[in-house]
Amino acid sequence: MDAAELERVRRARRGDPEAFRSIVEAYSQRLWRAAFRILGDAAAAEDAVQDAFLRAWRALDRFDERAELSTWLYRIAMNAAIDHRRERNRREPFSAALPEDFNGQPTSRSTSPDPAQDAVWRDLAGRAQETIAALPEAERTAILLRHFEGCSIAEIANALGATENAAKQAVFRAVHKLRAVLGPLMEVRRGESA
Amino acid sequence: MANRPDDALILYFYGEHEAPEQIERALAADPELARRYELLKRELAALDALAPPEPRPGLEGRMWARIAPELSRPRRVLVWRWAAVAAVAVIAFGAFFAGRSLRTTPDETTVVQTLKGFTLEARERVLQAALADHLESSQRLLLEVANGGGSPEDERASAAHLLSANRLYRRAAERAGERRVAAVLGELEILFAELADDPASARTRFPHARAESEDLLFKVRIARNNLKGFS
Repeated sequence: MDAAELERVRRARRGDPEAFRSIVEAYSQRLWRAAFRILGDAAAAEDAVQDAFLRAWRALDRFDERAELSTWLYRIAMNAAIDHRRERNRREPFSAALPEDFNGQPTSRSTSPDPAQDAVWRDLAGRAQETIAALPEAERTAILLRHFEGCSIAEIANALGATENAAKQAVFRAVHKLRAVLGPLMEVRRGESA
Repeated sequence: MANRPDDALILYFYGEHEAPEQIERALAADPELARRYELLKRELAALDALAPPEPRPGLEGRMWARIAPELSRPRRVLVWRWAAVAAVAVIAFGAFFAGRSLRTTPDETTVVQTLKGFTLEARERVLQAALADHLESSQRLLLEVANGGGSPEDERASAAHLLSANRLYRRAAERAGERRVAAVLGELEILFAELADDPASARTRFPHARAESEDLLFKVRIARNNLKGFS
């Protein structure tokens, strides 16, 4: 963590809202994307990020200054998103699990003009989202930080408060579980389109 | 350390393998390994379908507007906590006296005086535990109502029991200016009052009560989650 950020954290910890505001402004987008990956819904992601920042504000005293603020906030945001997802699933157990705010727009991967192909990607995205949300916390954090945020194993270990080997194993387990879900689905899709 | 056959490939895919040239040589020499690596790449590429869209413009400003009012309430939090501690204590003292068949409950002023010797930390611990208990009990009843599996008699008794505690919490929240908390507790109060009214009418109103309870359940869970962040 650089000196300026550390100073912001210390000021926020002393109750300076302007210091916390700069943290909110710096991390809102990143946390929103993390929450969206869990929730697949823009408004729900905003709610989760709001919760995450409030939890962070209340827990600032417990933040270890040797850790990265970004990974600490990221982890809080994922937990908040998971809590929101659990609530939503309890309320709407039969609701579609597909992302709600894609609005039929292809994602970066599903750029095919073929609607059937888009549907396949959306289906995969929905299953991937469900699987990630159901992973144990350490594995979920590890795969999201590694795959989507490009964090190194060392950074993931730091975020998890674990050894690098434990972080590596968490990535492995997450990847194996995701492949177990996505692999057969992709196989079936390939069979259907063959 | 990679234990499973594809663990080394996962590390290589993410650019974390200690000796990538070894993997490259192995991939060039072993078609089966190369096939497995292609499969791994394809499956992990499916995760990229989760790439989120951009948030609506102005996310930072919206977020700050939602958060700022919550941050500027350190004093109010203490007032709310203190008021709620008093409410909790009234309930606890009430239960204590009721248990001794005195059938009296001390007023809040008495309780506040009694509790003045508590440290701030102790008050907060009491509050957190008691609020969590109340919300958990409320959640249990709402679940029962939402699931429709409980007996109306039991629900009526539970609702009546929770109703009096809930009123104290709600009034404390209102006095402390905690409108959101007070609003949730107010909604709980209406439902508890309906359920506590009488079992027969609770049955006839069941679909209505059930729909309300599902909505309330969500709010109560959020309130409980927020409460976890108090510590």
